[in-house]
Amino acid sequence: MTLVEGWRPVPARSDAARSAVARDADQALTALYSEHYRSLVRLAALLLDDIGLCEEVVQDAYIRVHAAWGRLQDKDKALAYLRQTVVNLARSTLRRRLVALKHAPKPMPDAASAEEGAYSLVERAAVVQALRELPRRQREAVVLRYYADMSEADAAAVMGCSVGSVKAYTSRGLAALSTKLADLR
Amino acid sequence: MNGSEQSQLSPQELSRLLHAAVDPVRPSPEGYQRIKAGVERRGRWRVPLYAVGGAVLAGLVVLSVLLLRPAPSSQVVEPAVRPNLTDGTATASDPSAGPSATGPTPRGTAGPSGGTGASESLPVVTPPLNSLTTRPSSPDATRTEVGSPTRPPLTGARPAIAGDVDGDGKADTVRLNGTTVEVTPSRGQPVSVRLPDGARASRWAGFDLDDDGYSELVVQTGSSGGVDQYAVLRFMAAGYISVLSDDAAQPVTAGTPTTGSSTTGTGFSCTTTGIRLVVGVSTDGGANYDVTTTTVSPTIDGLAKVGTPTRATLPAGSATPSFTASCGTWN
Repeated sequence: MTLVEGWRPVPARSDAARSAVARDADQALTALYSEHYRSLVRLAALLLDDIGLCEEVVQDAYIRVHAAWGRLQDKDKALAYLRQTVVNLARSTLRRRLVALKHAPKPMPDAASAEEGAYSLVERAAVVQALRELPRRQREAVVLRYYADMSEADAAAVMGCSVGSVKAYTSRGLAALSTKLADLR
Repeated sequence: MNGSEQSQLSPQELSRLLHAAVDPVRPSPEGYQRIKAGVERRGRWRVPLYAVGGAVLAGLVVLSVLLLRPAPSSQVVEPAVRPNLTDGTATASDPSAGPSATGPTPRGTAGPSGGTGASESLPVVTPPLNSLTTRPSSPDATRTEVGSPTRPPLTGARPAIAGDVDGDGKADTVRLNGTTVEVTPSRGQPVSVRLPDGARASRWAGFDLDDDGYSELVVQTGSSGGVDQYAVLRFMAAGYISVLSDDAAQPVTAGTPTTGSSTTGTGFSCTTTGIRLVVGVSTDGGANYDVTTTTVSPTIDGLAKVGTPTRATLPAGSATPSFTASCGTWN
């Protein structure tokens, strides 16, 4: 579990202070939802490529941020914490899915559908497919850097690794994606 | 190389592809309601969970305190008394209590001692008949004998003052009565100790020879040929004092007898680590002595040798002062 700077326990509060914090958390939750919910679901979609699971992950992240609102020292970093929670939950979900897939029966071969003729869907499928073939760290680095437009330092904080590692993951991921998407371009 | 550079995906292009890939993603409209429901659900469970967690934690703290708290006991538990006490060891009881209440030696056979004077009022209990038959089969059995008598708790200083047999910080009353030594502790019942056959008590001294807070008694039991014999009595348990056997084969004697051309001098001095026994032999008419010094300590099993004896050749002027009985004040 990686931590965002400014996130540390604070002393217990009185009932009045606690209710004030709860109201503040409700307002922040609403604001964060209206501004970032869609982008966070899309971020999760790149990490998980399952819309249903993406929404669950993001909603769970919002619930956790709301519960921890009183302990968040720097409220301006709520979005960073939210992103970090989404990434961590996506990792956990991927791990669970890998375990489930390992023990699941082999599926039937996919049949071609008419919708796949649309260029945007093909492109999306190609990028998503290429992303899914990347190692988890490379995938996270590429998504955080080139989809979430995060700096290397912010991406390193979310991923819980050094800036140098983020650079390396990004470079390797970009090279791998270039190879995989060469035909598309 | 050039071909590789041409096929390299630019960050801008990758960003565009990624955005385009997830652009069709439309979150469900009820996302906010689900989050609010989750928040409320979490809030409902939080208080009971915290309460249960706090109760469990408090229970664990109380349990650990109860388990780790030392037992409130100041009782000094003495290892079980070995049953094969030396001959002449005896206990006595309150005469008014009768023979059936003879204290912590239920195996003994009560009966009159046959003595005179005060000894008649103190019935003497005969010790076990055979030490070999009553000795425990293992050393552990000596320490864990069920129901074995124990000393009363130590309340006096260590080492004990002279004559404080029962360890309560007060000197007890000791009276020599021929073949018996009568001890009246300041707490507990009087005890009469019968000395070995042929022994007759003439003087005594109290000294804590093992620094355990209970004074031992050193009693002169006889004198023959210029040599005085002594016995060591140890407080074993309430109402129970025994004459320690000489397990170290080092008799406690003092004197300087002359036999032919050789002179043998013996003596001892009492210390809190035991009795320092000195034996000096002179074959040059008493000018020089080969002196051997041995320390024996009173234990529950008898007088046991402590450490290694030391030997030295000393002139008579240095050796003879140690051929005396030095054990504090003799009474």
